[in-house]
Amino acid sequence: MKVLAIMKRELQSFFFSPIAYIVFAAFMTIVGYLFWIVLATSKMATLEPMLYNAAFILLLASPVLTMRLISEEKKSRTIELLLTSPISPAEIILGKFLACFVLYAVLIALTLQYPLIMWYYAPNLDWGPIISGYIGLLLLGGAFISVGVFASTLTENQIIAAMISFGSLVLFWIFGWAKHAFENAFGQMISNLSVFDRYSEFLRGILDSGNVVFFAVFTLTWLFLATRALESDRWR
Amino acid sequence: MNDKRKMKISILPYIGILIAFTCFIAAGLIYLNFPSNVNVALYTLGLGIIFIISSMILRPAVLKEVFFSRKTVLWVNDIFLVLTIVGIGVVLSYIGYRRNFRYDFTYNQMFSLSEQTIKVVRELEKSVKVTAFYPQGIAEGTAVEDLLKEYKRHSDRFSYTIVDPVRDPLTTRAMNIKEVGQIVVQCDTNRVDISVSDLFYSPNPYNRNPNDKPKFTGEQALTSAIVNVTSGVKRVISFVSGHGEGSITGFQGRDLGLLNEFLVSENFEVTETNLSDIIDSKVSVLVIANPQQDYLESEIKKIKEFLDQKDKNLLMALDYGYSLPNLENFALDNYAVLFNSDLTVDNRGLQIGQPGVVAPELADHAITKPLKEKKLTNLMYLARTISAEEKTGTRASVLVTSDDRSWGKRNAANNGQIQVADLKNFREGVDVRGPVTLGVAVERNYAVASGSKAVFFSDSDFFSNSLIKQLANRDLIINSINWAAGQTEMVSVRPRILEIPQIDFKPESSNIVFTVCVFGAPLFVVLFGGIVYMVRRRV
Repeated sequence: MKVLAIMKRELQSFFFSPIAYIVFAAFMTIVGYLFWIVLATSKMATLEPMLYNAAFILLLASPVLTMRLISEEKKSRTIELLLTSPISPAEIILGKFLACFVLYAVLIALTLQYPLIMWYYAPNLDWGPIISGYIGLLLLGGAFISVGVFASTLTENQIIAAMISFGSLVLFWIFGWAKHAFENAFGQMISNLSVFDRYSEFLRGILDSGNVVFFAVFTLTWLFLATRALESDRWR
Repeated sequence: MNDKRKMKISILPYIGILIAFTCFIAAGLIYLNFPSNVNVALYTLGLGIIFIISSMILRPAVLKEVFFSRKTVLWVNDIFLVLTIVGIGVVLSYIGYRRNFRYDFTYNQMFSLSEQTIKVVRELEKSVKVTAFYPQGIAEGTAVEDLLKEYKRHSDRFSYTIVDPVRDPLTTRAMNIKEVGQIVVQCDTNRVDISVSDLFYSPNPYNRNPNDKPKFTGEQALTSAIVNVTSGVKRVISFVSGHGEGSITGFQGRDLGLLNEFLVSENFEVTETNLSDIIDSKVSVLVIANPQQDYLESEIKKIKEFLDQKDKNLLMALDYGYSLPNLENFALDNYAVLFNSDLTVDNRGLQIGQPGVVAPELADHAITKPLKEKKLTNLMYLARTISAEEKTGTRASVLVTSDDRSWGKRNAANNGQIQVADLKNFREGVDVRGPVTLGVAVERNYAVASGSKAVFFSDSDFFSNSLIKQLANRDLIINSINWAAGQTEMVSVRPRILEIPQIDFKPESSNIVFTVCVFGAPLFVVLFGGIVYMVRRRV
């Protein structure tokens, strides 16, 4: 219940302010333009490029959504109230994460217009990769937000939080390149951390429980780190 | 007082401790990544120890302060907790990777292996190593790597490596790679090469049938190769020599050097026999290709004795223009196959001014099925005609014929010279109206285990050096030899269609989509947000 209360409060602060709508509109303009230009030039009945582009735009947008979650509480000193209230740091983190994830899910839901538009022009559209692509996009969003929440617990400066989050996400996006640079077990180990490689499996239409477990573990680990970082504020 | 004491404490020992830990981590990384530079790792480790000792000399209590203060205990506690959670995460991810459930959402199961392949891979008893030669970043290479990953998922005995021929020319040269995209499948000392044409099929861009789509046939090729290399038996094929046949080591036009190479890459052991002794019992397929002189009765007897044994098979190709009565009688008496003395005249050959050229049609048979599926054709040159007669205990199937606008020309040669001008005219009642038979597969005693197989062609030029690389000639002869060698377990896996459906997207539609996606939808969201904001402000 406490988690839901925090989530509700966060969602209200998102949706009752113009920020959410501005982020939504900017995201939809960019993704809509990319969808249109790929469709108009390739004339192919596939949403893979759109889902790939959307994921990359979300990589850029998610630090903006998450940067204020804890940083703002720290800056305005309301975090002390939260931490002294009968709410555990884990509940605070989970509530804020879920609020941001709901916001993200709404953002993703707004892109459902693109498969519908494509289906109108291509009735023989292969829905399989689209369904798995959207599942991948949701899991990827969870991972992005968890990193952002953790970054936000580290500092009271929102810009720094956004930069930490953005840097980490870019790193996890490009970890896959390591397997070409180090053709050994180390390179393979690093590339296994690549969220892009995992996500691209979803885009091709493959739902692999290994990838689902990876995203779940990735998200939970960062949320745990965020909880510990928040908790350590008491003695640091 | 207390503040003054604090100010006196130097931060150098703490920096020393920090540097020492950095050295320890660097030493570990150097050791892991550069195993040949163990000394550098040891020096770095030593440097770290020196820093620790120096810090302790500067401030003897530094270790106690760093390691046993309350903060440190809390940090260690947190780090331990975090490492535990990360460790559990790694273990869970590994379990998820090893024991994964995989669902292919694509409508034609594009990324799933067939049941047949999964069975073959799961039942591997020996290690199979696959090396694919693809430069980085090309789409075909990605498709092949995806396929190899799928195989790997089903067996620990399967391993693969992707070698970039540009970045690693040494390995490429050492493995005798002929083309980019070649795949080598190895098990023990057996090796089978898969060429690019076995992996991908592209429709003719100039004569495009809408139903003729690009296909990926890699699974079929790879599974067949695995079955081949793991069978444990190196099939021996022997070419008869000494009667003017093309040499299997020669590279003149009528020689069979290229066929020899292709057979070796298909895991055959190729030998020659001149019939002076009995034929080696290890031989499974005997090939008689383009003899210019007839065989002696004693030689025919040796061949017959060989073929009467269990699992001994024959491939015979007799060209037009040679008098080979003993061989022809052998084929007729034992397999009911009659080599006629007619020359096949193909109307399409005449049209291009090459009356000897024949573009044969493929009949339905296990040998021709893969070629027909890929809509491949062949090319023969100066082919005679053959006929398969009825014979008890034998079952004959036509493999290739000429088309129905062709005919068999009687007495096409005068004094050994083909009269090209006469070929154009079909003589009613003399010449034989097409389609005429050019290749036959015969199963002798097919109802019993000791039955043997034989393939007869009315032309050997199509698999000689001069023509084997033309169209699908290589596939036809290799498939024929595989079939004769009893490679019946060669798998048949459906090809994967690689094409994404195209949309008829007109400029008007493009304008509508642009307006809706780039302006309409974002504007709607902004308006909605504006209304919510205004309502909230009023509240």
